[in-house]
Amino acid sequence: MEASGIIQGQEAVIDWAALGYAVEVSLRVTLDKTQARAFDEFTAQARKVPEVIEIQTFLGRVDVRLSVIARDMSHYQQIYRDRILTLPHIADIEALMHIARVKRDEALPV
Amino acid sequence: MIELDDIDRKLLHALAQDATQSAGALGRRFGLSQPAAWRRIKRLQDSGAIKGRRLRLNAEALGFGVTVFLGVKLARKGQVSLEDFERAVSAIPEVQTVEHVLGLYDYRLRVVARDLSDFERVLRRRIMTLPGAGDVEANVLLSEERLPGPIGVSNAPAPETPDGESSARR
Repeated sequence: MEASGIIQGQEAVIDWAALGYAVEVSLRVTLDKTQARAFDEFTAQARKVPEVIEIQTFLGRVDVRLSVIARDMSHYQQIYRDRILTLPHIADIEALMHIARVKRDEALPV
Repeated sequence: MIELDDIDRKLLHALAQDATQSAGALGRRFGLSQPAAWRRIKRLQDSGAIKGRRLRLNAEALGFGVTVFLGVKLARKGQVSLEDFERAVSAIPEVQTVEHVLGLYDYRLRVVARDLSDFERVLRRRIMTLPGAGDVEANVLLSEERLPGPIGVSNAPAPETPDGESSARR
């Protein structure tokens, strides 16, 4: 299955909570799409923020979602103000705070 | 909470990219003996900093072309318990992750489907019939990337990363 490209690799899963990152927030970002390069420039800058651990782009009401981790709420506040709100071409941001992971099963229903 | 030194961070970073590397190979890369590297990796695992391994699967090669994230708001009218909803939603095979969140929605679901009509089937037959499900918002995933996170290995001389991307990130 590895040769056929179905399995692309194995990665260790880091438990950020065990490393002191207690806060995880999903930021759902709507971009200013009148800017032709909004997607590229936004994601390129978002990649430079170390606390951003996931970037997903969507078709729908939300354009981009960032997973951001922080040590605590004041750390999050600082990241949000200094690193996130300064990202280019943001039209709107909504935050979802993670409370619990009920299911984490990346297995495919084959 | 586990304290990490620079070498721990490098090991963690390397393993998050490729968990199949041996202690010997990692030791050679970071100037450790095989037993020393092994002990450090074991400590990372035992302390819970590494909580497991994940196979990176190519969903499309397996015929799952569509990934959709759903924001689900529970209908407040009925007295449906969170446990009932969580149990029912976790039992759906197409639902890969369920996250309880605070904000606009109550739950965030990651759903895989073979194509859009397959997704419609899952949505109608499985999601809409969940006990207590109210508002549902769907966003189709176009692209996804995982980043190394704040492990702080930026000062390290750029190691040969398999994706060739992380060295350009800073």
